[in-house]
Amino acid sequence: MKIRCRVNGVSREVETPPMVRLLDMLRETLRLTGTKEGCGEGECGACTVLLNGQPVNSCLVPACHAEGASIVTVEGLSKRGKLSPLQEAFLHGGAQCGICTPGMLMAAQALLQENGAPKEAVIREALAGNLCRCTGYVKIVEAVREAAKVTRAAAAAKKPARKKKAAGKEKAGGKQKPAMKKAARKKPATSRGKRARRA
Amino acid sequence: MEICDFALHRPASLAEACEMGRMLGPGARFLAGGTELLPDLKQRRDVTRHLVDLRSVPGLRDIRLDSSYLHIGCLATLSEVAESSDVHKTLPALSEAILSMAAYQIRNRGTLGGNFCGGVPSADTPPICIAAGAQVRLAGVDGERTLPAEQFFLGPRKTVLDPGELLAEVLIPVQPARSGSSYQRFALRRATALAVVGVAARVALEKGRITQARVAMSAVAPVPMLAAECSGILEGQSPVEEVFERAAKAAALASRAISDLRGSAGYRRDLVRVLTLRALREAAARAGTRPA
Amino acid sequence: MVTRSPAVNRPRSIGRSVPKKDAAAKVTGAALYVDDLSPEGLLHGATVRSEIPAGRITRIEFDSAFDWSQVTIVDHRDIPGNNCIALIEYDQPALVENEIRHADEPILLLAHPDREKLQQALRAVKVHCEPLEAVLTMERSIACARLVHATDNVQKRFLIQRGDLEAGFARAHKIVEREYRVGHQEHLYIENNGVIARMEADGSLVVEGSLQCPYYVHKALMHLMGLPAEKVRVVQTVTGGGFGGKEEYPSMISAHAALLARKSGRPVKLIYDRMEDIAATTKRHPAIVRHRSGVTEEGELVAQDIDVIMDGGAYVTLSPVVLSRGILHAGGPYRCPNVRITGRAVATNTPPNGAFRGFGAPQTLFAAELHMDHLAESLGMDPLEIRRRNLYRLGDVTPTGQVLRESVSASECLEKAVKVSGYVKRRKALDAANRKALARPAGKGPRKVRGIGLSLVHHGAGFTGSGEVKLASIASLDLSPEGRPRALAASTEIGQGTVTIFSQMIGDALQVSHDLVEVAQPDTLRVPNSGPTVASRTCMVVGGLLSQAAADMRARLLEFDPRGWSDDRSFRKLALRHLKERGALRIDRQYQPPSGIEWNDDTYTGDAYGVFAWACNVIEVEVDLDTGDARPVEVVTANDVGKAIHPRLAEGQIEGGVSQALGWAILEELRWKDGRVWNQQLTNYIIPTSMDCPPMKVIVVENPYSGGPFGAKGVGELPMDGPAPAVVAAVRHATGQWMDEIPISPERLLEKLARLEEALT
Repeated sequence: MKIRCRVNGVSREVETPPMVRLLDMLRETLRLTGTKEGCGEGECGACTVLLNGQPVNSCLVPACHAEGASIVTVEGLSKRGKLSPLQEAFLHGGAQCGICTPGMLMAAQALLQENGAPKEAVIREALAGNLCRCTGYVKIVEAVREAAKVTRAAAAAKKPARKKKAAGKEKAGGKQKPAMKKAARKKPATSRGKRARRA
Repeated sequence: MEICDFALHRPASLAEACEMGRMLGPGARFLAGGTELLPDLKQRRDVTRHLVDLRSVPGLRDIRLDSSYLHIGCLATLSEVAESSDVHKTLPALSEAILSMAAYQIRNRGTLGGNFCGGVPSADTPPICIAAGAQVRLAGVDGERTLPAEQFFLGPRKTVLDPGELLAEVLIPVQPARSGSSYQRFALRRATALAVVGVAARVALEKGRITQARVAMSAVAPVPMLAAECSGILEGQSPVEEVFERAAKAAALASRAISDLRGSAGYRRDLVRVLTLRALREAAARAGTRPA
Repeated sequence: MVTRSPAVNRPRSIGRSVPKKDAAAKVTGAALYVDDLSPEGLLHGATVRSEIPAGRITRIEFDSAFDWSQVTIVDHRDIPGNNCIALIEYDQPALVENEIRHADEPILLLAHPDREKLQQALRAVKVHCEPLEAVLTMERSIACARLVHATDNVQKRFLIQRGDLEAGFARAHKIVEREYRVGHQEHLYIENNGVIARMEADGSLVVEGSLQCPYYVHKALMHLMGLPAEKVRVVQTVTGGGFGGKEEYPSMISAHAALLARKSGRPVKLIYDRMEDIAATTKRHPAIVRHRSGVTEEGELVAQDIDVIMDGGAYVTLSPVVLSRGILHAGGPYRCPNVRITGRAVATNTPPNGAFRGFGAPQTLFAAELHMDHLAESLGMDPLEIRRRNLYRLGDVTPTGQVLRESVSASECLEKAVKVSGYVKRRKALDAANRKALARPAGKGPRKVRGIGLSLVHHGAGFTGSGEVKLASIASLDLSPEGRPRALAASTEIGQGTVTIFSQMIGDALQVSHDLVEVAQPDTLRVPNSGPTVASRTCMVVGGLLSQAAADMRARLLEFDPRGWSDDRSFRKLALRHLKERGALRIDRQYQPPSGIEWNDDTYTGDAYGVFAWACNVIEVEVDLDTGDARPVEVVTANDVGKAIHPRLAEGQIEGGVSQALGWAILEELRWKDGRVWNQQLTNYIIPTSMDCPPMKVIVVENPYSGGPFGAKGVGELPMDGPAPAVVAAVRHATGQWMDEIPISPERLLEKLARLEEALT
């Protein structure tokens, strides 16, 4: 069947059998090999991509469900050759062998879109579906925190003075909504893990 | 079976979906999120040739609360259920069960309907729904039927669904006043591991007595099961440790656990007792604090 | 123009955490792993494997309903050279001829342009066998239930003796005897094994893939294919993790891809899926270790009698050397005048066990450390105190008679970890808290207790004994056409940081930035044999050779132009001028053993290692007394690596190694059913997630080694050695239960706790 979708911001039309895995459609048909396969059963998260903004295991998504969707892969993170703050942060030990890195980046990206100042426990929960065998996750968690910090600082520098103040408060208290456009559009920071836990 | 050989069907209505399912017979499966189906196809546990994609059917993804029921459409993703304010209002323990069972990537794709229809004995959402007195609404070629959720499962990967019949929605009754629920699971690691045992409990209190109690379990029988014995032991009693202990022992006795990779039958029975106790304590504590 | 003399050797990048050089391509998805390559005309390969652990093939049936016309089929008769994977002994066939010796042993190879059709073809082959009795456990092997190897099922034996054991026991106040067991461990690199092979028009073979040791594969392919060295080329692609799992196994998968490529005349890609990788490839050796040792009343260790048995699996592969390292570490980092250590690797009908981070040492150190705790307990002494009294100090002598002449940091690591963790205070505080938790009535709070435990380990740096001398590694440095210094070595980047630290070491020696340095892709056509990427030797040995080569290159360039260079630009200018006027510049450096090192392979005496690295782990665990669940909640780990060339990468090695060790201690267990691996999936062979790994405090101790570049001793394996016994010690502290076998599954722990409760009531 013919599938129309946006991949990394570019409209694509792909001819593929409907039950081909999104992973294979990306890697083989579109030759976007940055997305990796580690287990093929949704356990390791190496194949994580964003499907309409949400992290999913592309090994569990049939191509037919990509119809009309917007997909972001690791290749879509850097803009005009410039690494994103998250990618930049992973240069310092977050990526060792690198095979889990694309999936890890996509899961972390999804988190940072919703929560600009995640605490360590929240980061660990957001990455729980991405296995890494090299790092013990320490430098990965650090990288996500660092990227959040850099992004907040950049956002604060861009905003007019009044909003800057709010961003500063958020940093101190950690309770304000993150000063990010996307975060404002989406759910509050507490939606990751905590909100639902309130009994 | 070749991935390329599948025929994909996109019905426009529930009735059409059922009709397709019936016509295509046992070689067809309904496609929801795909998180169960794709690994099955990969490991060739399945002889499917036709897939009926339910996503083209309108309305199956809705979550809504009316005066008597919380309706969760079969296509609502686990994330949508876990984050729904109506779910939080009605049965927060369902949300907790979902958050404990899988990572974001799976929650964003997997559906409540899929978690039920997979018929996996260790599935985490059925017990909490069963404990809450949930019903399932099934839609078929010859009309609809509604069953208590515990009657939906027949065995591992087997449900009551006839060819052409599908689970349209899960109906969770508005919970009684002064009631509380809890889902306790034990897995071999902190995240994204299948449950060794899961126990759900719902307790309603009135004047210091338990008026209603239901305990349901996963991974300890061929199907998610209701430990009916527990209700008899608990109802009419005070919510005290000694009563919970008796119910927990009864639950352990009622379980029909087998030994597998995750644990032996004996260990599972021990866990049923421990987790039932914890679930009852938490449910009762919540019932006590829940506004009437 | 040039004013500053480059002769001033000021470190510029050593000891600094510069960005990891290979990471940029990894964070953008640009890095190409083997499965990302798709050469023209590619076929996909697959392996038909045995379904039983032991038997004889009677008939192979090909379903006639299937269209075989497009399938390339290879069996043992298609092997042009010797049907063996050349390693230490040549006993392992590439393809079974008749007798099946383990489950999932390769029998036939298939290739097809279409992956789906290939899967159908796999299912259309049926191998008929006559089963033989399978020997699946070490006990059955020793009992010679059936002969699997030679006349006694023993693949290798070792004996180390020192002092007078009888006299030692006679002096002992307490004698403690105990048995410890550890299980298989799967490496679980996230990238499965995979290679692509192709035949060139001139009859030469090219294999590229995910691997640690290009020259191991090179040697194996020469023997298998009957090709001379120059007709075999092995190239490493970006590799998604190794941990030893891509040390010897890639020779096997490369052999298979090569045979298919030869027969089909097309490039063949052979990539395992997760199930095949877990079922068929190597694992950490399970071991049974028995200790009988004696201590004086003051806690002085006076006699150690240790017996080590390792399960080698169906073929010899690397088991002799794994066992060797195992027995050399079996006594633990403690001085003892009277020692006997015996070791056996025994054959079973299971897939061969192989190299895995630590290489036999984690198994024996697990036993040694637990035994130290048992000894302490027999004396009523604190585990910390008994270690303080016996740990190796400068000048002490090991069981092989090696005098520890330098860089001995057992005490420093122990004291630092103890101080940072507050071990002594914490132990007391937890005792009090646990009493309170246990006194609480049921239903009033969780029945959870905590404990804290420690372990002290050493790890011999580099190859054992005469290994390096026999290997005589060569590493080279040349000038690239762009005038950059370029390292030529077969040492692979598998995530640990080879490319970055080589660049740092060369850059500093040449007084240029690490960015200017290139590290060539390991390719046997282009790089010399600098030896395998194993034994934590890459930094210490190969890094050392490259540093020396860089010093030579500096001298040669200064000789060419005494004005030298002041920065990267002027270096390149000078280098380009050299290339133009004098031609290529290439420095080869071959390994020379440090003076005063002597080793006797026959008597197993002498300097087993040039130096040891040291580590102390202090781990706190929380145990749920109702479920048996034990989880590490905090780790303090002090590791002496000599010199951390790149501190963050060194920390990364430590954090990753500790996590892998925690997985082995608590979660990871290989289960068997009818001789086959039962849990072949990531759903049932579980490794730690981000929520399972506790916070870690990493202390890097730097006690330099004169024989290593900038003092470095290596860091890859050391962190794997200590965490498991520290976890067990902590569980003992928390619950009073000794878990002498790992993994400590919740079920096993609960069973022990229940037995205790029964005994008390």
